[in-house]
Amino acid sequence: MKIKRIEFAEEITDVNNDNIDVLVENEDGYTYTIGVGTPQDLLEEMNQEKTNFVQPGTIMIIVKKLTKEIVTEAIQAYAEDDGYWLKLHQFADSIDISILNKLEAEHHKEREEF
Amino acid sequence: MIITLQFQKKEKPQESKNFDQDYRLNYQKKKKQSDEQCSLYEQNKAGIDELPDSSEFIYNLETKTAKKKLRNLWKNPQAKKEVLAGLARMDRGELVPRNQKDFKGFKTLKEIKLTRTRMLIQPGKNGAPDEILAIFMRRDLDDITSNFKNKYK
Repeated sequence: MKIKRIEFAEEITDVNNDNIDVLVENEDGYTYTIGVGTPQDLLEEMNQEKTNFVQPGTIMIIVKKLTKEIVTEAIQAYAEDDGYWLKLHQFADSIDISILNKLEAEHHKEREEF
Repeated sequence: MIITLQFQKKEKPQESKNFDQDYRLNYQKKKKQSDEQCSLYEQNKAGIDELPDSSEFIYNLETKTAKKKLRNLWKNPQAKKEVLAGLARMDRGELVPRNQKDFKGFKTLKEIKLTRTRMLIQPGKNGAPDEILAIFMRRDLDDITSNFKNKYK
């Protein structure tokens, strides 16, 4: 997938410890909103929320530092080929459970046949 | 457009929980008293009556885009659950710092960042409750930003 624009949708408070929304526009003019954060930010989330794990539904690209260069590099990697991983980040929270159940059933059947 | 009686911002209980055996009971009483100190605020919930009332905030989803995005979000059970939980935390004043940011490109708006959803807030002035201007899926951020450009500062 070809990327036309990458724009940080918010100011970064700490390049080592933050998460931001990044707007990614493809060549057709469609804009994805991708969460990008650092490992330290995930640790902070668990500390602030007093949990031992990151909450389900946290769909985020993890980078070492929130610099324009690194984020661009990561987005380009996720957009490679047909942009599967970028699209998954955009729509993961809206995939109907029936699709996952179907995949699970197919895999289950495949294992039984093996 | 829904008009409801809305309340002045409640004062948080100041007493130490250790010295107040009836803390919960007293808190409920105080909340009720606070809720009774009504003043008239106009609310716009975009037809989603399940959105809970609070003395901390009111809803003012006035743009067509904001209404549409909320209605879309409401069709997603997990997103809806997340928003209701987030609103409950806001009502109790329990949002953590990482949930709140200035909204880039706007001088007065704040963004509430939940996991997969976002809210835009106009902080209340002089004790007035905060106004929730938009509640939307993260992926709708660009549409909302464009829509709000000429409407809010």
